[in-house]
Amino acid sequence: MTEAVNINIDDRALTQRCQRGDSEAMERIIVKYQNRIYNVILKICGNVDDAAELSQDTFVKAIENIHSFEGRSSFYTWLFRIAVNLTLNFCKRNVKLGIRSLEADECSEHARASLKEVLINNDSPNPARVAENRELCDLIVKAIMNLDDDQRAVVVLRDIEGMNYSQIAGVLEIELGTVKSRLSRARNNLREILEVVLK
Amino acid sequence: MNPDPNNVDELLNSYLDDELTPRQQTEVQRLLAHDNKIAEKLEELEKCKMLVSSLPFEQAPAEMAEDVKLALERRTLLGAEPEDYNERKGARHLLFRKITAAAAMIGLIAALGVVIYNIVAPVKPVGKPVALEDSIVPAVKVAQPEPKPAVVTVAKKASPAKVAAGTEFNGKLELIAADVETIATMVNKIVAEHGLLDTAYPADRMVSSLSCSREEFNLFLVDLEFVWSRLDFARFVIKSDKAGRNIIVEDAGIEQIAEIINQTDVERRNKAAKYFAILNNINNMAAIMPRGDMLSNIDTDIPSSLAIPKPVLTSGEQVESGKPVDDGQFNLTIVVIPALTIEK
Repeated sequence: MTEAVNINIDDRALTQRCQRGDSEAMERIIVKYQNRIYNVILKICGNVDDAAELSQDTFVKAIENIHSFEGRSSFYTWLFRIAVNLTLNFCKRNVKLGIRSLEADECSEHARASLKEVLINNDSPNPARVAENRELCDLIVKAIMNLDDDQRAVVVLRDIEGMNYSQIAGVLEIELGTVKSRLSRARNNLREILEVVLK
Repeated sequence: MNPDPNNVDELLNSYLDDELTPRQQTEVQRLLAHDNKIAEKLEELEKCKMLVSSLPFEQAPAEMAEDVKLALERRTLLGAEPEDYNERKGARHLLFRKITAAAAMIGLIAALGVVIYNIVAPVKPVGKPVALEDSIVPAVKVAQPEPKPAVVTVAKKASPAKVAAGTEFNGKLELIAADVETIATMVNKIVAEHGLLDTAYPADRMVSSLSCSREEFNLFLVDLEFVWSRLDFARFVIKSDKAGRNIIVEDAGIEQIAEIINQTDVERRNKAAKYFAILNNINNMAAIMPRGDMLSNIDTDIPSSLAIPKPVLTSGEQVESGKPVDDGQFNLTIVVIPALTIEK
């Protein structure tokens, strides 16, 4: 809690300096958030090149519009709102163009076996071992990509970025109850997708 | 009673994410302890959450900060404007177009309104109708079925300069009589006595031309009254200033002529002349009507409601009575004409 408060204070000082045109403060903001922004965008859009471009666009837009940031929400929420909105708009455009084409059942036997082991084994899975299994990770990413855009955004913000429900509501500009129901449906759908992979 | 599955799912997810109040947490724990299916569901959800959370944290490209700076510089050099600025600019442009369209519509409606008004609107009189002064209303009145004011319209008000220059009087007096020689002799004698004769004409046409002041003209008229009883009738022609048109007063009386020439200016003089011209015409028409109905009504003591109304002027000006304020030249041509040679 104390760490979060310190981060906010630091953000406030940096944004004030940015608003005065301090280029060093701008660079510090980029360095501070670039990995988290890139990671969230990548998990939502599923492509490294698109993620890099969207991350860059996010920072450009944030810096160009820093004068309109009034501090009603935290800078962290404001920045992720820009990132998620840009990414979701990008995903919607690509769906319309038929660019995205991911099949959950396109996975190797090794990945399927790993997934089966995780899901069927009564023991709690070891996150480190999951992260080391590249094929399993690809499978999970594909499963996430088969969720609706809105559900995917909620899952990524919660389980990857680690935001609480209130922050998710702030980023997506939706009600807290909507966050709960959307996250519940997203996890149920994800479980069903993964079970289909195992059959 | 089984709880709503959706609510249970939301509760379980919130329990996993540590988003429940202590009381809700206790409630979920009691559910888990008593319902194996709910416990299994929680375990599945937890594995899903763990799988997603286990995905490796990807690092942004190392040149991200540099790329952002370059992109900002490039946009600055190209003069690119922030999106929200473009949105505001677009909104302003849209507003301007709306206002322009509304102004154009209002202008069109106004123009259409003017056109319609010009077509539909009645033509208004030049000014407020004004009655002529009482001094020029004769005592003789003619009864009318519906007494409506006889209106004499003066086409255009004379300009001040014109009034000042138009104090001069030019007119002609035609004296129609059977015994022209006697009348001519009498007239010539009166003219000679007043020293007004400019030019003498042959006796067979009997024309005299006078040029005098107003006072001399009035004195001349006093003496000329003696001649009136020997006339068949007299015609007084006033040369109007307007486009050379004349005002003709048929059956003019000597008092009427005096009334006309003693008006203060040309405009009022013309008004008075027109008034007498109308009045005398009405009297002549009444005289020739069958059974003489109208003649019987020519009386001074008839009810006022049946009296012929006073002519009114639409110029909006009051006719002033009193002494003339100017003294221009009075030019009068007197013509004695035999009664048989002219149609009355």
